[in-house]
Amino acid sequence: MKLLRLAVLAVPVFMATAAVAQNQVATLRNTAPLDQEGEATQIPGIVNTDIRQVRNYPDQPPLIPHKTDNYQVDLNSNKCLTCHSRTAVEVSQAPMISVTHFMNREGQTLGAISPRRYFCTQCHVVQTNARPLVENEFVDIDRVIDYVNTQQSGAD
Amino acid sequence: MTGPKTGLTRRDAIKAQAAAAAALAAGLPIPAAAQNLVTDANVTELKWSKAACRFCGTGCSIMVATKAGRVVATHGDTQAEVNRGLNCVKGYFLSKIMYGADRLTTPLLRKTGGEYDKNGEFTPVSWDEAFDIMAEKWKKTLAEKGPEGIGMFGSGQWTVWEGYAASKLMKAGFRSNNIDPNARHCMASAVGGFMRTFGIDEPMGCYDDFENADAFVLWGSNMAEMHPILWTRITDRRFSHPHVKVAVLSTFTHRSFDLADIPAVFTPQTDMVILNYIANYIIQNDAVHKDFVGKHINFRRGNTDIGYGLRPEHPLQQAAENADKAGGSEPMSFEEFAEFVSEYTLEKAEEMSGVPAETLEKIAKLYADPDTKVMSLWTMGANQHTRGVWTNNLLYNIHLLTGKISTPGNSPFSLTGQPSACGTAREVGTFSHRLPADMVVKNPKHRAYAEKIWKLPEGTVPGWVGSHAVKQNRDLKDGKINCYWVQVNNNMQAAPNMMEEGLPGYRNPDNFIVVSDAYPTVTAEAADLILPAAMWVEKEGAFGNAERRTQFWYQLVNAPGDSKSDLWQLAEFSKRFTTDEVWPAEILDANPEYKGKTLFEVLFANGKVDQFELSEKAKEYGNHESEDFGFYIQKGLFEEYAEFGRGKAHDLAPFDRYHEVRGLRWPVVDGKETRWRFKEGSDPYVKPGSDYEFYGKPDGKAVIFALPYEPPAESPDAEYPMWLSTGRVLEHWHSGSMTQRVPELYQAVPDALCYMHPDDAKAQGFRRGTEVRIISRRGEIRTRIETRGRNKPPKGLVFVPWFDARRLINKVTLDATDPISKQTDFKKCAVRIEAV
Amino acid sequence: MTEEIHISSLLVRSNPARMGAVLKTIQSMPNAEISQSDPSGKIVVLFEAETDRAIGDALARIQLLDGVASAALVFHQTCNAQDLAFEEGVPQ
Repeated sequence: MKLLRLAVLAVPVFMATAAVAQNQVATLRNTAPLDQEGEATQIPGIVNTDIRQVRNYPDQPPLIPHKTDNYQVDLNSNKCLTCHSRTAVEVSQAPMISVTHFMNREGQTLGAISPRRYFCTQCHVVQTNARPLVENEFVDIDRVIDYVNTQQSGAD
Repeated sequence: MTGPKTGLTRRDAIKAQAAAAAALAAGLPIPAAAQNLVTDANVTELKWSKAACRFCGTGCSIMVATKAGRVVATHGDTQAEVNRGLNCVKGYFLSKIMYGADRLTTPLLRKTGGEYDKNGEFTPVSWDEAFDIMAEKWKKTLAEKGPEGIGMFGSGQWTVWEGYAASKLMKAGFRSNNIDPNARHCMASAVGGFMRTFGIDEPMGCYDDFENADAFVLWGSNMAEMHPILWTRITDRRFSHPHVKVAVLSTFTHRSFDLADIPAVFTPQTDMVILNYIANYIIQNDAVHKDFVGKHINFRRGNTDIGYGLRPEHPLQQAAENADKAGGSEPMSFEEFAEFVSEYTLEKAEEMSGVPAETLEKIAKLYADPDTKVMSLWTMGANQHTRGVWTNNLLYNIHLLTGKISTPGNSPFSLTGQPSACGTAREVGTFSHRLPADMVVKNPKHRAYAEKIWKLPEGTVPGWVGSHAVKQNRDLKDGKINCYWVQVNNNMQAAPNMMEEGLPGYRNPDNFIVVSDAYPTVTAEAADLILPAAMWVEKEGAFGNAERRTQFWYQLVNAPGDSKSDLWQLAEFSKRFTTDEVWPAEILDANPEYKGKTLFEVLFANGKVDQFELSEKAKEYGNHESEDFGFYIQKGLFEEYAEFGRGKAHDLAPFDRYHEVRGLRWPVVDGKETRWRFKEGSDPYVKPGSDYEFYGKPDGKAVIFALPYEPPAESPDAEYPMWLSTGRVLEHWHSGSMTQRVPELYQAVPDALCYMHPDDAKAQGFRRGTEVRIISRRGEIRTRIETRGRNKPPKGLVFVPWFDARRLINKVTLDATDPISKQTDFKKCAVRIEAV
Repeated sequence: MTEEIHISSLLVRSNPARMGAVLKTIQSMPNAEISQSDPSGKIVVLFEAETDRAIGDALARIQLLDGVASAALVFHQTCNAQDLAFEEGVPQ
């Protein structure tokens, strides 16, 4: 199979930063010289739109589209479950926690959420409105499939 | 628009809906782009392969989906014992770590007017030109200064064979022991603790202990963020079995406290007081396992007043009585040990640590109660400590006094930070004092053993201990090391005291610095030559995790542009040197058959490493190194390396088996892995009838050490009134060089903030978001105050994570190290905070 | 900076004999995109605009083209332009 080439995307970093001296290559520093300290950007806000985001692939844990400030998730209670538990969603209209969350280590489905999934923020994170420092060129599977289809029809 | 979109955006989704709606209305077939169900299996089928996670030392197994040469999805491997289908948020985003838009794809050399210039601008060059200038610099330095003039800094992120090839190239090829891994910043105190107490490295227990313990005690560790998948196993155990208790000790409150039955925030450095108090409590309350201690334990008194690993002229070093004999000790009796710890009373422990007496007693009782199986867990809190080896020793003390070791659930467990800190840095022996399988360069027998396996002349491996991580930066600054190669780590960002040691060293006009990385990191920017590296599943690899589990993966996709793996770079560079250029005449005269050969020939095409044909590699996967060299180099390196440990309690299985299984825990004897070492019945190396045998020591006995509390190198004072602790966050690993390039992880935690107690902030007139300078005697950074975040320091302490390339907190930290392990204390120094 | 983006689809029925010319004209219109067409003369057009007025104007223009029997709006959604731009990494 031919490999997917993203020639148009592979813009060398030096073209992208041609305006600055080419000895400042550490993209994440935004061109501040190593021995200097740029102004610290403001603490960005948390995205609180409640709009669900497309997942990069089915196995990706969904991002949290709302604020979770002061949510208590500890030995005594789990605030997230007050909306996302199986029984709460009728009232909350929030997405129910995935069925995988009822499985124990051995893959057996339990009567309640598996304790190993108890701390939601190990996998689900809020998003700030900070602008990414570097673009990511991960290609969504649907586009890869489009590409494969094009290649196949082209070959016939 | 700035270019084509790489993801499926909301706009695409809406347009697809629009097209489908109209097509339906017209009775037309739904166009491919709008079709929401693709049914051609040929098109939708993904190729799934296993790999080990690229991040922490837990060693989760990942299933990776590829299609058309791209990684398109990843998920937790349900077949893997370690994680049983789970990942943390970083693990779930592994698919995207290779696709940052600024991947390095060609070597870059600083040039002016077409020539190399230390102050020139990075200019794309060919691999040939890159290796030409490197070889020229290396040869010049070797001729002028000998092997002491060159150095290499590697990592616990090297694959097993990369670390092995690097170590062999440096120690046997260039005859220089100036090679160290960044695991020195991370695990060196753990290694020192194991070697002193047990005489053999790495945990005796394994992750099965999580499902068997009745109590978990975290010593300075924040597993909820740093080892999230192991934390899920503790959470599972705690909630499924109500009798289970979790104690969390730290210098500030963090997410792991959410599960704590017994929370304790202690004053920095007083973990040593608490540990000695617990030993005293065990003795005072007649909880010593006398039979176990009588048969299996020796007692020793360690040297004290050992200094702080600073430059020798530093007043603290001058004042230290035993700075040059830090690791020394002498025998003592149990009674003398009891007397030694008797001064660590409950009252003293409470006063010094600030932890309430009743809390301290609760923790002590977990250890003292013979019916409670205890798992102690620690990482950087104990290791990044000017008394890190001691703290590790003190932790083993309380498990050994009670005999709570090497049985399911009874487990002092040293966690690791990097994916192959154990498998590569420690087991392969990439430290400046080590050889594979716990052997050391100082020992002539060990060197001879290595030379025999490597088929090299006697005397090839030098006996001098090379410079460790912090010393390497000092040597660069002092002009003692002039050629330096950094692979797969970001040490300009990670090493302490960047402004006084790291940066001046790299930019010293006498030095030539080479950095191999996938991305243009802070370290790459400080270099003179940058080499583009293939990463993770762009090469065939192996990692070893914290429970001695070795895991393999295949090359699943090709690396972009001209980037090549570190293994390829090392082997290819070795072709540029002949033995005549780098070995002394006496070795060559005594062994004329080695004359005129390249280092590649004597190290890699030596009849062993090249013994496996290219045709033996898996047909369905690429292997860019083997295809270039014409033999299956990974297999050859692994099998040669495995010779070191087989029959010596470090046995590894045959190479091919690791491609079939989800890892195996060494020693692998008769095809079976070992879960609990040193215990008869579960460890085949234990002599029958001995019950326990700590065979790392000549008499089979482990050592309990008498070690006192000693103060830290720097404490807050009037001028610098706050403690600074540095560390990590869940969403970022390895200095953020990969995770900061994944938008979802970046947007979750974009900046390193200064976590501060609200009262401290108020006292200085700060609010959440105030921009401040964090200033120490060595340097300063600018960031903003966070008073409501996930980390909640007590008054008098601030926490700043180090993942943020824009806020290099290691400009502020102190390069004080443990004098035994040479590991830096990144957890304690004194700072003041001022509004910008 | 525009505040909204309107995404819509139109179903156009044309005289099959003259469909080629119709397709060409639609293709030349700004922001219009042919999603698909079929030999019977049916054409699905995707249309993106900054105002709903622009969609109405485009629809009217297509209805008046030679060879077009009818054109109807099938789907219309309004989005926040900034949200879309943010997702796609366009400098704001």
